[in-house]
Amino acid sequence: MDTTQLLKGVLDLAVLAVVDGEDGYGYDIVRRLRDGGLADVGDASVYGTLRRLYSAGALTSYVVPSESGPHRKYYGITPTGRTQLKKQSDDWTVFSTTVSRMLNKPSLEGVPA
Amino acid sequence: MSTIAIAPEVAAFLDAVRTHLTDLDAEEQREILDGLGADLAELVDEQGPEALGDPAAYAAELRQAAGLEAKPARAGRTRSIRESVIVFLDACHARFDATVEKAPGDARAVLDWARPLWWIARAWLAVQLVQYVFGDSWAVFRVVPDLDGFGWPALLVAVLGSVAVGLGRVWPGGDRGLVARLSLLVLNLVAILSMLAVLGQPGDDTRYGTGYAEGYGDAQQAQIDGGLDSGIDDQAGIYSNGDWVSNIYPYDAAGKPLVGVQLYDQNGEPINVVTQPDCEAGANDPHPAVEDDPDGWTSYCTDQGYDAVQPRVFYPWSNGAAQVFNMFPLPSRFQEDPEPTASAFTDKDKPTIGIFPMESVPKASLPGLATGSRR
Repeated sequence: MDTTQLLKGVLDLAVLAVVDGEDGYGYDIVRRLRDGGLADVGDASVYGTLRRLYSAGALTSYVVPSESGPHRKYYGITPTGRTQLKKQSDDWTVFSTTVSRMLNKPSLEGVPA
Repeated sequence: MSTIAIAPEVAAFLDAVRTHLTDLDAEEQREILDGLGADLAELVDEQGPEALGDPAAYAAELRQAAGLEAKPARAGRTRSIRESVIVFLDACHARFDATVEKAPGDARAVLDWARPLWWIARAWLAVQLVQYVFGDSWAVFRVVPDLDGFGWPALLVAVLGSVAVGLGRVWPGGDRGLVARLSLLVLNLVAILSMLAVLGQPGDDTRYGTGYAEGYGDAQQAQIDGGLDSGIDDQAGIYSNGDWVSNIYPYDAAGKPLVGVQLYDQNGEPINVVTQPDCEAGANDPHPAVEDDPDGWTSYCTDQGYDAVQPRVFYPWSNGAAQVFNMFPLPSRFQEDPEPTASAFTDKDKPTIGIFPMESVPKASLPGLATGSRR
């Protein structure tokens, strides 16, 4: 299965999760996601997601100037972002548990409605 | 890793990405591209320039993830302005083509034939414009401007460039994009306008000066040849305290008006007033209006309200053999024609000596000097 399709659905959640621990700049966050196991994540998708979450108020951003290069834009999570993280995290848990359980049963019989 | 200089390939990639985001407004562009340089630089630092990939795909991914792909209202408006300009240009072109098709004769062939000539002409105009803008403003107009000796090479380069654009080899020629079409349109318009400017300038000032003097001379000659004799402009005739004298009214020693007095100067030359038609209204004799030219476009005289009035035209006395202009007072009359007319003295309103300015003047005498005619 093409994991990029799956990624799209959970990228917001993943990004919020890795920013939650510590503020980071774009490439730094990409690296964290890849180190965490999402090897196929695209930089542009992550940067776009960061911009979108920032516009939605889930992230805050600040610029750290560099002495000899372009400045870095750091992102940190906001209370809104934390609430969103919590909710999406719960949703994910329910969703993934459901799907996992489904996958572990050879038949759909007995699955609680 | 704390300081990352931006590599040329990163800058180029960033520019390329930006070109795919031009429909976003400035704020959105800034938002989405801000900080990207540093991230890309670090990527290249770690994985080499190959990791950058295709800017178009990158921009698409960025845009999709940022949720900026679907902006129908904004994108639609931006596109519609662009499209409407294109539609307008196409419509103009179509109308032009239609007009050419309808034109009598083989207009299309003539235009095709004239196009290369226009390419050369606009190149020449461009060089003239350079001369006009950057050259010495008092420089003499030349077909090939001097431009510090670079006139000919500049013209050659301009012609080659213009023809290359015309043939579509060099931008903006050949490119059907909106920017290229507008650029070409503006450049051609500038060329046409500068053609008016170049052809309208007076040429070199020596020629101008000579021309002016010639014209002035011709005008003066025309005035003299026009039968109005030499006018007051060349100081002919009689002046009294600097004012032109149009007639003389003599009085005798007793102060009585005299009619028919001939005047000569110390050299025996006749003292002639100049028989120039008089437009100055005397206090008591306003000039009658010219009926068929109330606005004074063609009339010799106009009054202070710029309405046409009849000039006072003077007639000489006669000694039987020639006209005598030094005999006073000169008879005159108002008439529409500023030239004396042959039939004047047979007309009903024939010239008169007019009213003496004063009925009489004080007597004057010198002791022992007899007045009246000397025998």
